[in-house]
Amino acid sequence: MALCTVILMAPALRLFPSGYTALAGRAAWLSAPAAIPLMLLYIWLISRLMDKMKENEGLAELTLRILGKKAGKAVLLLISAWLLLFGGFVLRSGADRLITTIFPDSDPAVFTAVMGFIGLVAALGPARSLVRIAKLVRPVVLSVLSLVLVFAFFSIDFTNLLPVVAQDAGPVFQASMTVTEIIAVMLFLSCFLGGLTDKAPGCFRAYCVWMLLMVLLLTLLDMAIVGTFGAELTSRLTRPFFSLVRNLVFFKSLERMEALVVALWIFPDFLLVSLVLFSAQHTLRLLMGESPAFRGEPLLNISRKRWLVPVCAAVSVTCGILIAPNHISLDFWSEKLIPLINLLFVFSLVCLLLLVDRLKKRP
Amino acid sequence: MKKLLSVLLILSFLPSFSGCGSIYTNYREIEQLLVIQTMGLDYIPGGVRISLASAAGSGPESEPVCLSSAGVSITAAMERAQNYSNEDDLFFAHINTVILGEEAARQGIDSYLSFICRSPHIRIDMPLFIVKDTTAEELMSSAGRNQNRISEIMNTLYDNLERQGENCIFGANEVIRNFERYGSSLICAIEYADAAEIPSASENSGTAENGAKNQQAGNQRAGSSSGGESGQKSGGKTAAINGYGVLKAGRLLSYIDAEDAVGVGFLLNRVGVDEIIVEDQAGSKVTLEISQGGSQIRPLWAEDGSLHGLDVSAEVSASVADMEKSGNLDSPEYSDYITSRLEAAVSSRISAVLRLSQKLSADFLGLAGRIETQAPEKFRAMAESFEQCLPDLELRISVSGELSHSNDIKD
Repeated sequence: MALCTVILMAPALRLFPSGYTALAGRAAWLSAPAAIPLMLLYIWLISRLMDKMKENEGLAELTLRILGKKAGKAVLLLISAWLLLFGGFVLRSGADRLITTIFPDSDPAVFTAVMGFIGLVAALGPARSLVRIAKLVRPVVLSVLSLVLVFAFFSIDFTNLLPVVAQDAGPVFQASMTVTEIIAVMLFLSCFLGGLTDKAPGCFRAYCVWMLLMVLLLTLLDMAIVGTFGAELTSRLTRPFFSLVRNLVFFKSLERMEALVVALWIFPDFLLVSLVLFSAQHTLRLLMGESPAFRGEPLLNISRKRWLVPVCAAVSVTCGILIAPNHISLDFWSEKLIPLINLLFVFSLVCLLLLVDRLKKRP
Repeated sequence: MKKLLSVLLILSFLPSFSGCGSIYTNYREIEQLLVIQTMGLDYIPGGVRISLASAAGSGPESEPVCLSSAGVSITAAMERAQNYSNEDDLFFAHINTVILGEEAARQGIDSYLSFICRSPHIRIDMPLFIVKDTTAEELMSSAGRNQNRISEIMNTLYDNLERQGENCIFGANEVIRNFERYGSSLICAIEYADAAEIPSASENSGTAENGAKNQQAGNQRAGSSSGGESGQKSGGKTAAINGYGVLKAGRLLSYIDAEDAVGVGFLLNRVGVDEIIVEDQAGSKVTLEISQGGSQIRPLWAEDGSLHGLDVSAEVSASVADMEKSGNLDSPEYSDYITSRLEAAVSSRISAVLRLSQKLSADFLGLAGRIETQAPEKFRAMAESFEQCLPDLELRISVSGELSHSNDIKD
């Protein structure tokens, strides 16, 4: 769960809450709680799927086992393509955050390539180290987030959050799909680690508790941002969280701390990119008939088709450089295309695997 | 071999972390920076003139520096200021005040707000001010003297406002939100006034009587925007808070003067320490210091669901700060009379502000938001927008006042 918590911070602050405040207005802070029913359904589905995993088996192995050799490999190829595209998008959006907040006029390719390289180094190692890094980073990220929230709550104007009326329900549920997408994708990605998560696989209760905590965190975040800026301004800002941090003055003596906070958010990006690259190479190596489990290979060892790791990183970096040449197209990818692809992908794949498994068990 | 490759790979990345060139092109030593604290924006045909002021000791020289530059946009003007100044590197990240010239505000401030939102240098909650009857450049270049120039004056002004409790300074984020939500907003107005200061010893005749007279004259000048030469001789010019500018659709329409600004505080529930002078039955002046107050606004709905009026009920608590002639505050009659004058004074100020809002058809007080909070369903079902209804709304204003104490003197 530590890894899920940290990697969730990357898309959370990208999409939260400007992406959907335009939809739900001042009621946007209710979008995270509104996502709970759908999230419970998803957690139930993914828990059932994870119950079927054998020891040290991840989602890729399970897919191959349930769907069989041909269909399984086709789906694994699809998963790999999705992961590489998603990895490229994460690299590009991370670069954009650095450009818009600290380094104006910089070339996104620099940030994309550097982060891709760091992700490559992590993906060449064991998955366990990603979890270990997440456990180290989580308290730092959450402490900073809590500190920002505490100070931001002094500037909340509650007329920016209320009143909320029954007519807001529709837009709120529409906006809740963003929250669903963020949490569902992070849970989905964690399934590739094959038994490395804290209590999962198959622990419905642990996932529910984690999801509720994340919903609470996202709600507080949303209240702080929309409460400070108002829905109208929030929906116009590209990264309202970092604008909020830029405004904060700590004890009348410390201000302009946004560079540090933005820099800290490199860790969620790094872990997310590393996890995506790790999952992509794992899936591709499995697809090519190799057992992708880490056996203590040195970093530069390219035996057992480990050359696929740098190839995956190169493809993701290339995607990151090519997919959104400018800010406007990145907004389209960030707010429309990627959330839609992600939602369709994670829900349909889980449902497909459960359905096929059920059909196979019928006499 | 692998170790050598790894070391070479790491070494190849090191230059990019050194702070020289690459992505760190904005790296500068702190001694080379001129920290700008105040930015002024003025309209010029086809562009904008920016004025930039540092505080004393915030640059290589101890004297505050004021620069001015023009360009087709703020960014172009800033770039020009950076390239054509004799100063060190200009550092914009600690700008804490933006002053708009009156003409700039009349022409429209949307582009300036857009710049504040987009700029990575400037905080989005930057306090905004409009300088009355002049340009920001004029104010920034000539207000204050010696070590105390515009940045110091503005910092003192913030400290004073903070001491007085609730203040009505509007940040850029608030103004943008108000424009988006209500179509109009207030921005704190400052006047370019003569400084209140006792003339130097050489100008003074030396007697206590004359000194008192001069001081009184100086104080009068502080409240006036046209002090003339005598003001220049004594304390120079300064910037002082003087009501609000009313903006609609991004343009300055009107001002609310300092006296009626008290009404804004009540209507926004941001009442700070303020003085109101009333007269007792004998015509003697009594200065009351408002310490607390606020208002409740209730919508008056017609049977067809339309909004036909607003019921404003305000409360005020004040203490007696100064009396021209001693009055008997222990007498219920006298006390009630003073209280009634306080209520009337507050009521007239609230009324003046609301009438202006109606006259301009501008909801700069965010009344729509307060009505929506009370009756969201009815508000959203209104056939006409609140702004359309505003000029014809019936206003009912009631004020309930109390004299809290008489400041340690039993009259």
